[in-house]
Amino acid sequence: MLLDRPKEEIARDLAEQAAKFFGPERAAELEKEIDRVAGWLALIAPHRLDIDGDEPDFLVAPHADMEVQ
Amino acid sequence: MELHELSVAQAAELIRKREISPVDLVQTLLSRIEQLDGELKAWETVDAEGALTAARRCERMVGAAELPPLHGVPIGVKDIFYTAGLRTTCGSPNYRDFVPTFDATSVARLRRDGAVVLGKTVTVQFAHFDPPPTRNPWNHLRTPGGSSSGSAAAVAARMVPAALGSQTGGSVLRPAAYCGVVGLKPTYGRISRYGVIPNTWTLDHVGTLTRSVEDAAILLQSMAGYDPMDAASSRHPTSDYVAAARQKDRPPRLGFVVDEERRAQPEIAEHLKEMAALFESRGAEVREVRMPRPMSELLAIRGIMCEVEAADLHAHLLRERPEGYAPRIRELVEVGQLVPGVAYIHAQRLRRRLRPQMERMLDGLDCLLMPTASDVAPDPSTTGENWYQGVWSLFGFPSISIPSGLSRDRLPLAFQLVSLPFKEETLLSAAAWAEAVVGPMPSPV
Repeated sequence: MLLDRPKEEIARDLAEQAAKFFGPERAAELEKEIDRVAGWLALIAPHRLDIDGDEPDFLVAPHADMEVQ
Repeated sequence: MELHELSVAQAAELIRKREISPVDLVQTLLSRIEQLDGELKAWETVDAEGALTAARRCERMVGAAELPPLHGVPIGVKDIFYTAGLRTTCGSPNYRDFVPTFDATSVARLRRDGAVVLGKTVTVQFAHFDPPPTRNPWNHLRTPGGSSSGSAAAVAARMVPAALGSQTGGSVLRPAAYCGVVGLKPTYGRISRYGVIPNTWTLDHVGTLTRSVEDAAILLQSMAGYDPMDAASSRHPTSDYVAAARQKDRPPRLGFVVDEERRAQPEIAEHLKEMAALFESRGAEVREVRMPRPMSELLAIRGIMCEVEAADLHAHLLRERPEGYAPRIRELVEVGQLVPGVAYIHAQRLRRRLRPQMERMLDGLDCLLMPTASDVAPDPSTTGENWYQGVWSLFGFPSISIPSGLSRDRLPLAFQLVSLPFKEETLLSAAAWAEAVVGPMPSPV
């Protein structure tokens, strides 16, 4: 799924996936949560991050002065 | 002063001086729970027998040359922390009969320092946001907030002087604000999460709910420090937090965060302005600062991380035992599984890149000053929103909520202070100063 798009398009894609995996009835019940998540995705996706080397340890320790065990 | 009104510091001192009995203290609090909890529903499990046994043991030791700092002091433990031999339900039928065989590191350290576990406090299911049965002691038609609902309500209602909470979004500070108690969330990695059922991995923090800043410092002192069992635990040296909290004479330099998206309700926004003016009049340096990015964007980053990490944690159990899941966490786990991996990585990278900008907000300042919550406690169909708290869970900065009076509807008001990572001593000193300026919070019951 491409993310750098309007919220409504992202929500539509998520709803289609939800219908495929959980059934159309459940997908309809998930509409509010899908809308919330689509809103978040639409907010963060446009931020371009340059490739300037690695991203050290961010999955384990999100803070710069944190040691990786 | 009646026994149930004692703070952690007061109880510890009086026990040490043999002026009160730890057994009497536990019995008094058990009676208070008996009297109030039918309505408030702050406790999931009360361990009367275990607490009395521990208190009797403490009583026998009184008079020994040196006693640990929390000797005989009762505490409550949010029901997502492992407690050896005492069930840990996570608020879910799926864990109804789960009895851990060991204590979470935080609980073990508090017990090592003499604390007596009175029981387990109600948590929102799996520490997310489905409304709990717990009621707000100030008004039973309002939520106590979540997810550390029972801990905040029990401390506010004087059923216990202190309790453990945990925060992924705003689960310590928001219930603290709604219930009129002090909520402390230290730096990410400062207190071990080992033995705490995870909500996520990169956002979870252990925190405290108390009735004073000094008590928060005493609990932090006990629990802080490296734990090899938690991959995110920090080796950063600890400080003398208790001494910092007792240093109340230095007015802090405060950055009053401009609420550019105007999320706070008018009464809250007005109250924060009054607090800033009050602090300035008492000698604090107050200047306006701005968030480097809109709060809505920062919370979107946190939201994606929370959704995806929680989805991975719960996907299998949800498939096997869906009946044990409340509606909102079920929705979160289902939709979280649909979020592309690239979005999660992007969110993590954004957090990493934005963190230095967040730190620069505190240049030349001790703390940021902002609302804890956008409104007073709402009705119990929700646990409130994490607008002002979630960003500090995202970046791992230490934050504290201080009660600061009552609203027109006689519900607690609060403000939040935030400092740089691992600067808890700065935060606690500023918080203790501000607490002294604002004055004591009355009891709701």
